[in-house]
Amino acid sequence: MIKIEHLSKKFGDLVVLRDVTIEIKSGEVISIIGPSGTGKSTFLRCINLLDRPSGGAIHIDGVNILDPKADVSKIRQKMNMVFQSFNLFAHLSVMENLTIGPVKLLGMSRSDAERKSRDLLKLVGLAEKAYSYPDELSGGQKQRVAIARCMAMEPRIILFDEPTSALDPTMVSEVLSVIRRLAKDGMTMAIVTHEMDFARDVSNRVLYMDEGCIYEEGTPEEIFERPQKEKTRAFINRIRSFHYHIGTPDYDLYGMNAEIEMFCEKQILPMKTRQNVLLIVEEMLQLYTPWLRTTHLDMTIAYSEKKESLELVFESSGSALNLMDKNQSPDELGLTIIKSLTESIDYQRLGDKNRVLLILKKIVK
Amino acid sequence: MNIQTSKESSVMVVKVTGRLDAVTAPEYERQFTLLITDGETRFVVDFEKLDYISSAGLRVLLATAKHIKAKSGQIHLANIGGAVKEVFDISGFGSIFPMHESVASALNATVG
Amino acid sequence: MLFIVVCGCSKNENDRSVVKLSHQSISEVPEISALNQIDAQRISVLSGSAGDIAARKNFPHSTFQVMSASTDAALAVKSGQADAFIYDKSVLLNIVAKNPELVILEKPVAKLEVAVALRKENTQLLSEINGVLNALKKAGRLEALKKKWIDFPYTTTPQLSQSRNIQRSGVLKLGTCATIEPFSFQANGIVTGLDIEIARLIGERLGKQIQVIDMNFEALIPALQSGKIDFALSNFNVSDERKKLINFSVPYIENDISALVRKRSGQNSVTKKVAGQKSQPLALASVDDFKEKRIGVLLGSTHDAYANKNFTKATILQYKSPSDIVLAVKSGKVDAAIYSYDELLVLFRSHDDLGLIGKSLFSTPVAMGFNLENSELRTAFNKFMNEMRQSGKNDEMIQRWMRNGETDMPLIPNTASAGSIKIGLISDNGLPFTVVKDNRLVGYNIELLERFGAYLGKKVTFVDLEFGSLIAALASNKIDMIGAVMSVTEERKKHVAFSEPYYHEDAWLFALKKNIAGKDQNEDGRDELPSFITGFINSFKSNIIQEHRYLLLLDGFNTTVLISVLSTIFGTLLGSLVCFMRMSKNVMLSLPAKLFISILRGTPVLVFLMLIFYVVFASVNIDPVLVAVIAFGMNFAAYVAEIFRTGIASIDKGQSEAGISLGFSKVRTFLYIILPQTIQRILPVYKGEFISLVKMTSIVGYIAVQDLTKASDIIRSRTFDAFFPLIMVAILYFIISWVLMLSLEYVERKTDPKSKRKQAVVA
Repeated sequence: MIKIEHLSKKFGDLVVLRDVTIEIKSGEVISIIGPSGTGKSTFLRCINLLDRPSGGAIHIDGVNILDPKADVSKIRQKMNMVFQSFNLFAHLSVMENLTIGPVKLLGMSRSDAERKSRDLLKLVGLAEKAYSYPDELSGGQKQRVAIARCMAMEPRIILFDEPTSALDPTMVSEVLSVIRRLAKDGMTMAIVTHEMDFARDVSNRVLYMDEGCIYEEGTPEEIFERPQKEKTRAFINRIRSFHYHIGTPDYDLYGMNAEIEMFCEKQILPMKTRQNVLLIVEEMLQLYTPWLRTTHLDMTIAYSEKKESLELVFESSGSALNLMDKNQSPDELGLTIIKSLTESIDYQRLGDKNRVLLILKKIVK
Repeated sequence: MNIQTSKESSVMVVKVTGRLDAVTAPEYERQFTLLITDGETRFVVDFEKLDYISSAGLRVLLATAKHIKAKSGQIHLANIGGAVKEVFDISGFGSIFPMHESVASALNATVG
Repeated sequence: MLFIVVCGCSKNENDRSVVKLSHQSISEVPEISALNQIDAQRISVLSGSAGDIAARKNFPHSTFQVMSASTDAALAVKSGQADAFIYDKSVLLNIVAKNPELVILEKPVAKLEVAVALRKENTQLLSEINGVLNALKKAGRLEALKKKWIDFPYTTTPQLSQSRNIQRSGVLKLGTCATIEPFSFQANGIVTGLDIEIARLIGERLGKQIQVIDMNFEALIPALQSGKIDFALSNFNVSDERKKLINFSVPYIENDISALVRKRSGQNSVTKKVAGQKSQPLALASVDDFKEKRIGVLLGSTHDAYANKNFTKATILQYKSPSDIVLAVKSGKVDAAIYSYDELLVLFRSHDDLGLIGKSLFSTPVAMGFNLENSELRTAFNKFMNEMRQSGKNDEMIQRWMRNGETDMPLIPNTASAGSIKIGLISDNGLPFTVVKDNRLVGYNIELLERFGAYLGKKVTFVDLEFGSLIAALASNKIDMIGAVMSVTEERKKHVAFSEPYYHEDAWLFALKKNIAGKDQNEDGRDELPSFITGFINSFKSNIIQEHRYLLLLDGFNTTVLISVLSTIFGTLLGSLVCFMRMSKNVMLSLPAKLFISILRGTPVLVFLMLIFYVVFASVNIDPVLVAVIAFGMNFAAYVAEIFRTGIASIDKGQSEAGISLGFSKVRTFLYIILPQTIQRILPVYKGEFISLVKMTSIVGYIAVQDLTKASDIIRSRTFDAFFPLIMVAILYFIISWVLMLSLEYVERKTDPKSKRKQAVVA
């Protein structure tokens, strides 16, 4: 349906998109992920010409929309966008927001448009807010209305530009569930997002954008589990893991705990897992405390959704030290606890570093 | 972590809420020492509202229990459940201390 | 009542503050009963009028208050803010008819001719009108008209004579300022007066229809020059200044320019003043009041002798120098003092709390004094003086020193080869005669004497003496001549050989102004309370009911509303266009728009209005109301454009992005999404600008549109009421603003989506 060839975009001297070539077929759901500032949003905005490309071609159903003769407005009616900042029309009610497009652009009668809009609002769960005004709605509600507004135009493809980035974490899920529903119903979508689980869940294809082009693309499994290229891997790892550096024995246990809890929440880990993680971390740190005057500890917690396993890596530099070994550690109690919570404990000496890898026991549901 | 005390006919009922970890363990020990110095010998510790316990917590528990025993006192634990119970089980502490279902039964079990 | 007195005295050695707030009731201001008392007082005049010119010529030492209507000028005199109003006697007659407390001084200040004004190029019409006027004069019509309108004050407005039914082809536009009774004024709903009658006669004789156009006086000449009117009759005095710009017909009337002053109150009443004054003021009005008072004089002067001779019952105190005399008067050591007129005038400029009393006491010739033995020098001086007079130099000097009050000495070259001459004088005689300025002597006498020295080729040395010792110094040859201002008396002639007089001096009494008699105090206090209500009712009657003046107000009201509403509509539309151009990326559009906005916002509306009317539409026959709408509309547009632009810019970019991505074109996105939100936002500011516009329209009088403000001017020129018409009009303007504000608020409510919803919920 959409064929993009060698798309490029410059802002003055700044090259944001170098060379993007991609095809989006009807019914596909494409997620676009990548570090900030790599042109993901720009790419999306070029597709519906909110930003004018500097070069390349965009064909929609065979029509080159960069042709000056092309009726862009008409094309846009079938290709709507959901914005990060919602952009609901402030002077119109929710119902009016939904009906203005169909009535004025598609020539629908007002009663038809209102009927249809009511159905759409039911779909997104906001039927009772039909006559409210945007400034009376919460962020999540606004975004759902925005999605309904797009749907009112009966588009062939919906573009989502970081739809949940401006939302309170509590409201993210309500919006994501709407999008999930759309995907299930077969809507063609291109979504720029930072919600990795979601992207993984809902898309047919994932594009990782970096260096001004589509750095790597593949199925969700391919990208999230087996990223091939270096940068992709680094990215995937980074967003899936938690790092903490402990430099002194006077580390802030509670501060660290808070960060760990946040990470767990993001990964939507069950309560039990969280508690176990905290306990293991506390016990490990207790073990290391005597050595923290002379060495530092780097801790990484990584979660793999597919494997449903949580890994903890503790790295310290200095002379060879394996606290997991009963002989080298005086503390029976801590070690006992750790051992009971973990599936495996693995010590490695890498160069001048001591590396301990713990894999948490899986939670029995 | 919060410690609330109440006297039930010559038995000190100590209610512990929150976490008993490396940060809060010293406070627990300190409070108990005060009580022991005051002359209390019979204790029931209520863990109903305790969410979390680590090895640090277990250690102070042990230390205070020894202290009490030295004074020929008694200590019973009540309402150990959830994650705290698991840790007790893992560490084998479940067999060291007399554990009860409720404060009432712990009080009953307190001899003398 | 509180008056803010603006003192125009610039030569102020004592550095008094320029604006004084004083409790000045009528009794403090000077009494004027003769023309020669006017100089050095405060005179109100109408800008550019013949009275203005005559006043400045004849009373150069006075301070002038320039007004724009005779009613205001008369009011100034009435309320004590000015001491005289100099203007056409005929107009003044009408004023005194309505204001019994004012009086016209008998002797006119000047005589002036009144004629018809025409554009310079229109020589044809000029000769035609001259023909008519000459014929009318011959037939005695002009004399008759003068009797009818001018010579005698009337109580009811005379009727215009019936115009004959004749063939008329064509229209002559007459410009006039209908606020000058009895020449041109509004009565019973029409413009009438002597000028109007004459204009009608001209129309009759020339077979043309006369169209009367009422406008501000200052606008008449520009209107003539730009051809908006064909001829103007509006009590136009012929002056050389004006002749440069326009042509005048033969005069149809000769006018007296007279002075209007306050009537003198009753004699010999010593009025007790209210709180705030330390000493009791003395009502010194005439010389008779000086019995048993203290009078200061210059020791050994003619004033001294006079006072001793004539004020026998008074205490005469003699002072060594003029400054001592002044000090004595100011500090209350004497009640009054005698000194010379010319010097007093100069004095009053810097001491505005002093004033003249009564009339000139006596006049004496003033001459230079020489040793009885020194006839040679004396003869030389007489010869010299003759030459000065013949050559006109003396007149020039008198003009400079006395009339113009200049203080700069010209450089007088002197060979100083024939010795020197010692001249005795008083260095603080005072200007204009002798004074020390910048460490040197200046004055009429000084200049005269230096010229004499140059004439003789002798170096001049001035010897500073006390008055009393001058004669003695002369007699003992300490000085060669007396160059001080000395009056010639029989007594002195015995000791001094006088030259021919070079000047004449008047001696006057003067005192602190507050001691000079004025109005009877009690008049004000007695009637205050009850008179307010009756005063109000009277004001209402005369300003609104009489002569159906409310119709004038209604008319003006309608005009103001019409201009306001049309200008707003035009301005808003134009402003939208300009805003669009300003926001365009195309420089060809944005640059002119930017220019338009800065010019319109940077030019005062009045200037712009007159530019449009008198320059842009100069020879175009266009309704001035239309011009007003165009001018105000353009001005309003500049502001509207900016208001719109900032309103649009304040709308979040996302709104238009959402519209565009929905599929709306740029235009439709603007219309449906951006514009409604912009209007909501700018409505408050827009309301404010709109109200400003309504008030701005009050200047249309300058282009001959009779609006609400002009209506009040017209009424005021008949009733001379200061406050009532103004308050009336202020209220009417307020009503206009308020009503229009309400309608805008209605629009505001209608466009606010929230209110719609609130209504829906309530329902």
